[in-house]
Amino acid sequence: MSVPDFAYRRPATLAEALDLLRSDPEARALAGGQTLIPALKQRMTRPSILVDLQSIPEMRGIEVDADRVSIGAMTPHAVTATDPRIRAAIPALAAMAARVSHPQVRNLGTMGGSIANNDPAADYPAAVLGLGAEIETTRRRIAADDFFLGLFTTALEPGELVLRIHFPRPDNCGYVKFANPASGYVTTGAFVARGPAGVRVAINGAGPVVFRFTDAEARLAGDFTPAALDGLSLPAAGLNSDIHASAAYRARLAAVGTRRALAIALAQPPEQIKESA
Amino acid sequence: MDSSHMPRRPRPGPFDRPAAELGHAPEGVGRMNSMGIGAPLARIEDIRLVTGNGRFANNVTVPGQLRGYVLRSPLGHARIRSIDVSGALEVPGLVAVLTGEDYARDGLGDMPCVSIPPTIKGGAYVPTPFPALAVDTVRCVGSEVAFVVAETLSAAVEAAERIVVDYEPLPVAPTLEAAIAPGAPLVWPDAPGNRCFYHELGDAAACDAAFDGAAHVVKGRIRNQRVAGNPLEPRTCIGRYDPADGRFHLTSSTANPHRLRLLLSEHIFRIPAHRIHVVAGDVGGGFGTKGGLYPEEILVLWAAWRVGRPVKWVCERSEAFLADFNGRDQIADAEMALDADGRVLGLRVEVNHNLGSALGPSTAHPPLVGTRMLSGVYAFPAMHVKINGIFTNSRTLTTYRGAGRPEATLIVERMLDLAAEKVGLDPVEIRRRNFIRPEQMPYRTAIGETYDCGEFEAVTDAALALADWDGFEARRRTSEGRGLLRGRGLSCYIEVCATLSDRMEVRFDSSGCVSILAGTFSYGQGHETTYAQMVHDWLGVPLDQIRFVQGDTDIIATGRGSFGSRSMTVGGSALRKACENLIAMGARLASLMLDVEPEALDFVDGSYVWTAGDRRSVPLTEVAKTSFAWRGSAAYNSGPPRQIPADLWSGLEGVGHFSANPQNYPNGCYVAEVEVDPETGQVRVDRIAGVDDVGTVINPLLLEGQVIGGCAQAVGQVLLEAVVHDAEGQVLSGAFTDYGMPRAEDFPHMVLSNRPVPTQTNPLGVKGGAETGTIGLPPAILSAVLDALRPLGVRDLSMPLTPMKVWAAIDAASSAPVSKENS
Repeated sequence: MSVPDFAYRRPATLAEALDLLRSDPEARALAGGQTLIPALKQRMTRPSILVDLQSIPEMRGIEVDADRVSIGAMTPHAVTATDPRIRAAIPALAAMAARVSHPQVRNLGTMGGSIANNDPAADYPAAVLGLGAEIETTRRRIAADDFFLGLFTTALEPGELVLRIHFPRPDNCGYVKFANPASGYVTTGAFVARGPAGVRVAINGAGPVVFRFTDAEARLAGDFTPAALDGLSLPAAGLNSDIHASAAYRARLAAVGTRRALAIALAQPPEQIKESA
Repeated sequence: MDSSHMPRRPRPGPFDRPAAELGHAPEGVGRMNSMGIGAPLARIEDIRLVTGNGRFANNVTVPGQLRGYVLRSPLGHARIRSIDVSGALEVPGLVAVLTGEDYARDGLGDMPCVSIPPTIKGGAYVPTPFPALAVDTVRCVGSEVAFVVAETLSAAVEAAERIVVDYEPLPVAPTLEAAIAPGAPLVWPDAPGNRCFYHELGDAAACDAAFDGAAHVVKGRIRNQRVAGNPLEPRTCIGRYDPADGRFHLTSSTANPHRLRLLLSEHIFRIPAHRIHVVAGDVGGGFGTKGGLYPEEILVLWAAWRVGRPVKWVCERSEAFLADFNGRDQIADAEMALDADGRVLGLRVEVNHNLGSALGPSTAHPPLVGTRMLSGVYAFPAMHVKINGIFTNSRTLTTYRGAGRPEATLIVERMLDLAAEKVGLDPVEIRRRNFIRPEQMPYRTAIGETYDCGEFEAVTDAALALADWDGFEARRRTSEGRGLLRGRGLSCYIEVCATLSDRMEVRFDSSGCVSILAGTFSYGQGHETTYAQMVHDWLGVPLDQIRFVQGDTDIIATGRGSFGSRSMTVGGSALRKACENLIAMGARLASLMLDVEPEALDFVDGSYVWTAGDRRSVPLTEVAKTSFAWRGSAAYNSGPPRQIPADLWSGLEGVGHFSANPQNYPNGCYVAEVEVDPETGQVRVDRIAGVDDVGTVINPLLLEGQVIGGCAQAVGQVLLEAVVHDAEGQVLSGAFTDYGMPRAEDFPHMVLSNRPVPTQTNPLGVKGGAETGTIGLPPAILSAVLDALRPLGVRDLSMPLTPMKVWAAIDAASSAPVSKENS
């Protein structure tokens, strides 16, 4: 399909990017383009200007300290997958990034673009919600619990951009994804984490938006072992259904995925930074 | 490394081609015939193709070319009330908008169906008008409604978006299940029950008698789902009308240029064939999908003629899911009668095959050819087969790798598995009790097919050994330890290959080099290599002096293309005859050159030799050069100069013809082992082993590639692929995000072998080798999955075995633990 005409800008500063986005209601921010460019090719969207965010310093780079991992919004999956500091601090996040699609997507797609798009079949929302991350935008900081609102909908306001994602370092974390057999996107995934904010379990792919599996969290809060999950199940009501997976099947995968993610969390603990370091 | 001791190669001239370009075998291979028949030569064409030097249709840009875009029906079935193109006409760069009315006004013909023989039992079939642009009614999503021609693709798409079509929706029967249901909406008003044709094979009365005396009867419904061909290169065509020569020139990604020209000439434009020139360059796969004629090939030629400029059309990847003709799509209801010992007494099959909404050239081929193979490799004494061709509001059916034989194999093998369970026999044992034995050859099946040769039990034993069938239990326990269910399955297949005649030509040039002019057409099969190996073997000409030519109807006198695994049989045998004719022609000239009677000359290693005499000799290449000599005298060594007769003085060439009558019957056995995750329904194919009997092997490396490719498509169909429609006929699997294609990670290492039983039905002893995997492997995988799930009570599954479907079957079996009889 042919792409409709649009203007292209690559601002070097955040201020310039925000000005461009304010200048025209049809202007659109371009992160890694892994959703936007296919939508353009299908002529589903017709932006006047594409504002490419790749040169904005505030959105780049990875910072790791004793308490948290801060990842710039424009960090591509390939970097998240391979950065030794992320692999040490949040191995499930690095492993998640390593399994997103294929190398071309991993080298272009970004964490900020993924969570701002909030595709129910995306991976990162599960990590962001499961780890209880904080999203730093051009206007404020938003807790993960308040960020993902609905199908392709977030708390971001028009013209507001994600700058960085701040992850608290967990004591344990594990992620399991059951991929759509055709697309490789998430049919259902489960992210299990234990850390400063307690035990959190996030389920992606199953519903219209990533959500916390509160029953699993309650069981694991006092007993972070596989036995605590015996008989765990998730009601199918309200879950997604398509040609590849019914709501009932997704509910089943959520429960199985939670158990398996827990096993990973227990088997592969992150490296903890010693106070003296 | 001291290079001073290396032997010096002759210094290449500036125009010499690098050796690598010519696909040479590894260093040190220079001995005669080491690159000939049977040698695992790497593909000559690959260097060109992987270095960006392929000439695919989309690499062709014609000066002044416009871009065409097809506006397609968004509805599964609707009457077209009106088409308003006025908005489109305002788009800058727009050149023309063509509709079905224009098509009718210009008097172009309908897409033909040439695959229903007059001998069909049900009498006449229901023909379907199929203009390249719909008139009045659209009958499937993706039907061509308008053709927009513009300076750029963007302008064409923009204009297409501004065309307003007023549709009146009609009731839709998008699937086979919907179309054969009582009271189903009619796709064509003159086809009651949506039936296009009916055909029968075998003997109903004999079959009834067999069932009357049976100790056991098993019944099964076998669903073979609709799949998309998905060749790597999307379809592409460029049409040009040249007023200077009054001819239509078409460059297309077709897999069959001469057939395309014939259909365009006879059915569409109704002009002499010489006024149509079809060229196919490199073509990136087809699997049957590209073998016939498509509306777009008509549209670009017609539009080019109307607007006076060349028009190019390139199918988008997602558009291909609507525009390409599909494959498979059959429901079979089968009953098998057995005696108490598990010997089959009779097989009844009624097949409903989805033809789509309109008949294309090859639409009836899969149901009619595939059903001929329903006896499999077994001596079934009585059979009766009913075949219904059914219209639905879906895209036209065409051939897809195997074309009916995979469907037949699945029916036979599934029924034997069901029978084995019923009778209480091992799946191997029930097959042993029913194999046609070598001493029964030639064997005529109860539905009239005559197999010439084959050692079915021996090839099965070879496959079981290769697969380590007996070591299964240890592997099963290992899987069990990891919480996984392991199952194994086997499938014995036979198929029918090679059809029609073909023509091959070998032609020397004045330098003593040979050109092969092929009537077949390679679009990934590697003919540039295999035919060169043959000619190298037979004429003794080095590979780098052999050129391969195909695909241009102005250069190749005639041909029938490549499909149904026919090229090595028909093309190869015709090539052999061409070489023999050339050698005979050359012998007459060699006789003048050597002063020896032609009958006294032997052709040995590329030279004519007087072996009975003083061993004087002349190389064929010298004879060939002499046939072009400007001065018409022939002499070699000390022979006296002789005047060359006119018929030997205009080059040396040979033409050969062959027709595959009778056809040949490749066969073999595949074994699969799978692991199933009972919690998620995920299936992993862990082991694949197969032994094929495809007769003489021309190039084992290319054959293995063909078999691996076929197995990959088999895994795709069994586990992943399906064209899915909703109740309104919308295609829910219209992109690779929803249509599951197999990836490298979906395959285990495949252990493959050959056990040739060369056929006497052609001079090479070859049988078709291109479709064995898609035909033979699917039942083995299905059987393995059902074997794995047997402890959980799952008795039946239909393809594709997606995780959800497998999980749902497990879930249903565990919530209803009462075991059901086969039904």
